[in-house]
This record gives sequence, C-alpha cells and structure tokens, in this order.
Amino acid sequence: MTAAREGFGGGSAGGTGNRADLVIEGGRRVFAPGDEVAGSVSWHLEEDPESVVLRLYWRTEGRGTQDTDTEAEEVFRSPGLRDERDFSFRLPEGPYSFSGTLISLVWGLELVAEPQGALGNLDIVVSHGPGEVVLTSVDPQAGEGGEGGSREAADGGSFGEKARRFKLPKPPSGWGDE
Amino acid sequence: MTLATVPVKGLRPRDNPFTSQRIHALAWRPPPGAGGVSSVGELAVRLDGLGGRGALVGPHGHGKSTLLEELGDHLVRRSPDLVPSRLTAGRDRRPERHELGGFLRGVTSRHLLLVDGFDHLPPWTRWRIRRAAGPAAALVVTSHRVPRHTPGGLPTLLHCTTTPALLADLVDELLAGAPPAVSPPPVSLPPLPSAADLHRRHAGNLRDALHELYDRCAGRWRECG
Repeated sequence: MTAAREGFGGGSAGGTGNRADLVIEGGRRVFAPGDEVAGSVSWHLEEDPESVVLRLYWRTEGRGTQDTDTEAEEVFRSPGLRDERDFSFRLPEGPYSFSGTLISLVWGLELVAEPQGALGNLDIVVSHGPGEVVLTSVDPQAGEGGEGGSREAADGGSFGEKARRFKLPKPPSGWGDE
Repeated sequence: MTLATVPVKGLRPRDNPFTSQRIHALAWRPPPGAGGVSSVGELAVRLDGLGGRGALVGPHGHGKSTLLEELGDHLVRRSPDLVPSRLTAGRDRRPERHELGGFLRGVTSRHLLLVDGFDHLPPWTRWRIRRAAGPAAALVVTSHRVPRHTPGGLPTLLHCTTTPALLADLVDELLAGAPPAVSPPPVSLPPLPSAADLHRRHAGNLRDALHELYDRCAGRWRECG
C-alpha cells in the first residue's frame, strides 16, 4: 500500500499533548464521487477518551451562513489513549467540491474525541476533474444556476437544500486532464 | 451554469481571509481607547450589580450578538448549574410560536435567558418575556435601542461601540489566520483600504466593513461613483 501521512490541521482538542495523524491509502486527496476513501488514523491523547469518531462531512465557506452536513461516520469502539484504527468510507455522488465567488463547498475528514474535542481535520476534494469545480460568474440575463444558488447563502439563507440537490453532470472525457 | 477551468478573478471563498466563518470565530474584545468594561468577566460582574437583568445596546455590526454569546458562555462556566436558553429574532425572522412557547415555559431560578434582537420582537412578546423571566437567574438581551426603562424593564448593560483601532485589530487577526498558500490560482491579496476609511464609510458597522474586504478579495468589489 502506498501511503502518505497527512498532518491533521485545525484541531482544537484540549491539552497540548494531544496528537493525531491520518494516512489515506495511495496518498490521494482528490476523489471521484462514489470512490472509496480508506486509510488509517492514529492518536495520542493525554487522557482516556470516552469516544473517538471519524466523520466524513462537507461544509460551505464564504460570505454567507455556513452550512455543513455529515455524510458518514466511523465510531471506534473502546478507544485507547494511544491507538490506531483503519477506516473506510464510500463517497456519495454529490455534492461536488466547488468554489464560486460567494461560497466554496469543502469536503473533509474530521476526527473528534470526547471529551477532548476536535483532534484534527483534513480536507479532500470530491470531483471528476483534477481539482474542485470552479464556477465562473454568470450573465444575470441567463436566469438560473451558477452563483444564483450561493447568493441565497450570502443573504443569510440556508444553502443546504440546494447543495444536496447540486448534482453536476459528468464532464465530457478529457475535461480537466491537463 | 458555466463550468470552466479558468480561475476566478479573486481568491476562492475557502482562501478568503474574510469569510463569515472566520469573522464569526473572532472573540469579542473591548474597543481600544473607548473605555467601559475591559473583559467579559467584568461585564458579568456588572450584570450581577444590575440584578441579572440587562441589555447590550448598539447599532448593527457593533458586536452585540458576539458579546451576548460569549457572556452566556462565561456565565455558564462561572455557574455550571445554569441552564442557558436562547431566542433569536431579526428584521426578517420572528420566532415561531412553538419556539417562543418553549422559551417562556417553565422558567426557574436556574435559567439564563438570552435574547438576540429583543427590539425586533413585538411589544407584547417583549412584555411576556420580561414577565416570564421573573424567577430566572438572568435575562440578557441585545437591542439596537435602549429598551424602555419601565418597572420590570431592562437597564443598559453596555453600549457597544467600535473604533478604527478595533477594526484594524480584527483585520490583522484575520489576515494572520488566513490560509498560507493560495494555490491555485496564484492570486495575492488586493490593496485594502485603511481601517479609518472603512470604519468611517460603514459608520462603525464592523460586519459590513469586513464584508467589503471579503468582496475586495473575491474580486467582486466595485468602487462607487
């Protein structure tokens, strides 16, 4: 197995000695919808955790209210102070990772222990291309799509329903092969 | 919908230092040089002196909601027996009937009632809240104007103010916490206006000022005139 050790970032777990690492099989960070994300996660905590959970989720980031949804989670039974566990998730068909002007939709793997809190987060990309989908500005006369969806979020509305319905067609072959 | 591999003209939202999520994560701090309380703990003591009833007053974007949240967290840390109960109202958001009912029902001496947007509620609802809050340990609200100081009303706990120096502090913190590399596309931050200019143009509304900086970084800012 080719593996790349990824540093978890963004953790806020109490205690300076708490550490966690994530290894994704093949060292991949970009996945197609429906792919399997598998690997192992390890942690070293100062106090015994009551629970440790790895979540596959997405969140929006940008000018408006943040929306987030957990797609799957792996609950590790009887977690130890120092431990290493394997995980495997099957990615759903959407939503894709994308960035427009007002919001980005970002997929991530987040490790959370109780009572320590978040131990770390690793962002991944879910897309048929080499990276996230980039949305350009649209002609307001065009009437629908594009940033129209994100404008709602910027105005404080919920983006969640739109994101759940957001399914792009498969791109033509060769798209994004560069 | 247009799909393209060409990059957008500005930073991607995830790379933008001024996203709502990053702004929301900023801790409340007193405006430098503006006097008044110097910490949330000091404000809690002031609330005690007011019998646990008070209003955080100030215009839009002056930190009332942030302060209400942090004050609530502080009070619960100080007295873990407290049961916080929150209600939010806005220009376009009135609480649902069941939401209001749940908020008002069964208030005891362990309850900490927090109302964001008190002045957006109808007078009758405000009266019901003040009445239901009788046995509560504390009632703290935010309001754009001073709630009428009638018997049983709410004294002003703090007038929330902002200064250009405070805005400059917040911008510095946001820029320091921004993602280190913006790639792809390799776009650097545009020139940003001074804190004094921003603060003046937005009449002290920090939320709007930081949104302008988001728009500038996103390449969607158009100068007026």
